Amino acid sequence: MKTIQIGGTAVAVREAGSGTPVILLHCTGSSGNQWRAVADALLAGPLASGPGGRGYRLIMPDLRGYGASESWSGRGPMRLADEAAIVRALADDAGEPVHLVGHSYGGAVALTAALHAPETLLSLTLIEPVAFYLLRGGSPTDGLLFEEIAELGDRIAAGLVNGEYRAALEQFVDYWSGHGAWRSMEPEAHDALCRRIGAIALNFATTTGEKTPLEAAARVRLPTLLLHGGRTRPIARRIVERLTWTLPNATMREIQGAGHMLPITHPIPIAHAIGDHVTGREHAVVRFLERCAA
Amino acid sequence: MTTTPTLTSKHVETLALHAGFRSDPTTGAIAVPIYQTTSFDLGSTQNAIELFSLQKFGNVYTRIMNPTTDVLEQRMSAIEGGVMAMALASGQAAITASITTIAQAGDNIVSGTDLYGGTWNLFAHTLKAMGIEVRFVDPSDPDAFRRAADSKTRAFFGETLPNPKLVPFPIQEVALIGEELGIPLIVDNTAAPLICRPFDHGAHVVVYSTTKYIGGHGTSIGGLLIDSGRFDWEKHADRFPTLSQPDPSYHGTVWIDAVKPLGPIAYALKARISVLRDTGACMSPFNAFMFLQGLETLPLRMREHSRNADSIARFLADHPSVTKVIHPGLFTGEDKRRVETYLTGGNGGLVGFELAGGAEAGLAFIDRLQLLHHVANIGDARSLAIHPATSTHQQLTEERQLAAGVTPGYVRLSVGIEHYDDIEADLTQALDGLGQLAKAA
Repeated sequence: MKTIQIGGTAVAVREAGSGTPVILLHCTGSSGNQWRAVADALLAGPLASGPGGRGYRLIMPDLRGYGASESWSGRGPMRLADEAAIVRALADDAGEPVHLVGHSYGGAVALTAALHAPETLLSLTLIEPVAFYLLRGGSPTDGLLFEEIAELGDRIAAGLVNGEYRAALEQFVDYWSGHGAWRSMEPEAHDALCRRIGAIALNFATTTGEKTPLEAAARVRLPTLLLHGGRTRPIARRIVERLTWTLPNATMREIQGAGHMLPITHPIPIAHAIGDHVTGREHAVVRFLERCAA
Repeated sequence: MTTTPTLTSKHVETLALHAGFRSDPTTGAIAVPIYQTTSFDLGSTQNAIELFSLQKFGNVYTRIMNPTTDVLEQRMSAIEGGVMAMALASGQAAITASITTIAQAGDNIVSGTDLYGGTWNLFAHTLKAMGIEVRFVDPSDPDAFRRAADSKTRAFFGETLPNPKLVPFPIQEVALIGEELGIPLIVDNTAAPLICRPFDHGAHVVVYSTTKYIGGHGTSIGGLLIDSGRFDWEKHADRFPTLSQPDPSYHGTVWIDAVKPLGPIAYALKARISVLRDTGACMSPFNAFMFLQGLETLPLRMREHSRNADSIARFLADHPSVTKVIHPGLFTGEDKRRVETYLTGGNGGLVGFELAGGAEAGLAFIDRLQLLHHVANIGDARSLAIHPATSTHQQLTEERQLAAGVTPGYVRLSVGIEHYDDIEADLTQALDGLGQLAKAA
């Protein structure tokens, strides 16, 4: 695993395969290691080979405060753009445009990267991006969903301050993975999450506090795939819907039977969906339908 | 015809109603018209040249394509997540085409043993007589596919939800072996449309008997073949000469080269332009219309089939005349893991059970049914029942019957979408009658 300096902090990056770069950004509370099963599946099938015999290079950084990366430097309020700078630096390092994939918090970071530096990207795959701020200004139901998630963020921040990490993190885990999910985890996994609670609270603050309006997403003309689980939380589905309607070149796809943690629970369907998008097969399907109807 | 404006949506409920057709440009009709015609005006000779040389797609002759059938093909391709679909006269025709598109005399395929009887016969006898060997392996051991394959293997084959065992096929595992060896996986998803998404798990080609759930009303016979567009035929060109070598039946066309401007449809195009053209097992436009009608409510029906079958399975498991119930919702261990992995949209409408009284009880049970139909079919909106040992599997030896999971007292139900209480009531009276027969004896 290599380390690069970005914005005053060391960011650890793991890689697999070689060829056209594909950056994968993990969710809150996790690390680049969350992509292990997806990466194995991608390189065994959907991205085993590319045009002209060139393959794909999967680049999986640990976002700030996770895995082997350093925490946020503290030189001001952290914004999604500060995390998105990691994508820019990795694309510069690769020396060519990249395909970008992000899950949950990583999806919100990926969307920001697409807004700030679209020229560095070839395509965008957003897996239930938790860009909670996009619900502001929406319907009354959107408002209630935003309040619900902001309250969860407040409880995690309170847990961080008063030291009741476990009670706060139990609510976080059960919110996304269902009631009882925290209790079913191994004690070591509880300990690992407790060590990351600062980063988790910070991620909630950035994804609820971001000021970019939904309309800005209309500028993102990249081919974009929006993925959501069939059994996910209403808030995740709603953000995917709003982005699908706003992004000019977006396709939405459901992974049947999956919840919010779909890259971990459904790695093979996720790998095929990413592979279809990165290789352009998804586009080939639509184009062919249009050709037939013409 | 105009395309739907909701192509960005991949929700099957929407695609089932809108994909591939918006309205008829001449009349404004929103129902898909039945183009009951054999042939189409070719217009200018230049147009004919372009159509026949595949410079453009268009209607020529209904044996190869038809506008009504085309909507069904586009709609199912969109629902399944494929790049191109082809409708055929029956599910058996779809399976035959799926294999003969890439396998010739001297080649072989490897298939799981858990198959519909008609498919077993096709594989064990008809394909064998054509010089295509089918090597049968136990699908509970995915690595058996690797062991059975050799340089002449052209495909792996399995049924996603085979009855009577109802254990889902290990699509991910076998597809992965196929990727490694350069062998595509063809799966028959007839018993599990929508509830299983084979392309999500790596399958390369899906076939259907549309006669069953897609039609859903027991009116028409049909089949479908859907190409995922994911298999890299060019990378494995040596293994697939029917796609990588000049096709003498079509001006020496090399299919993997010919489709490059069109998309990843070498397999689907060869299947249509060569195999369907020559074997002629096309779907009638009228039947395509009937399947489009069925397709519109398929998402609703599959939910209801699954819900009723889940409840019937639990009811049967508690009944004293029943010694065993076979249903995906009741599995444990590895079989349960497979159900959770593959049947993500519900457990489907099939339920099997064994009666304590053996074959005699099975026959008496069938004869006592009043609501359920005694039919050798599945996937109808109506509830159906059959006693396989004396009907569908009658021609097999008892040993072969047992190997297929058919015991003397085994009964198969295809649970329909009637009100649940009425299905349970009919089963109750038929089962209770068995108890009275036993007492009388």
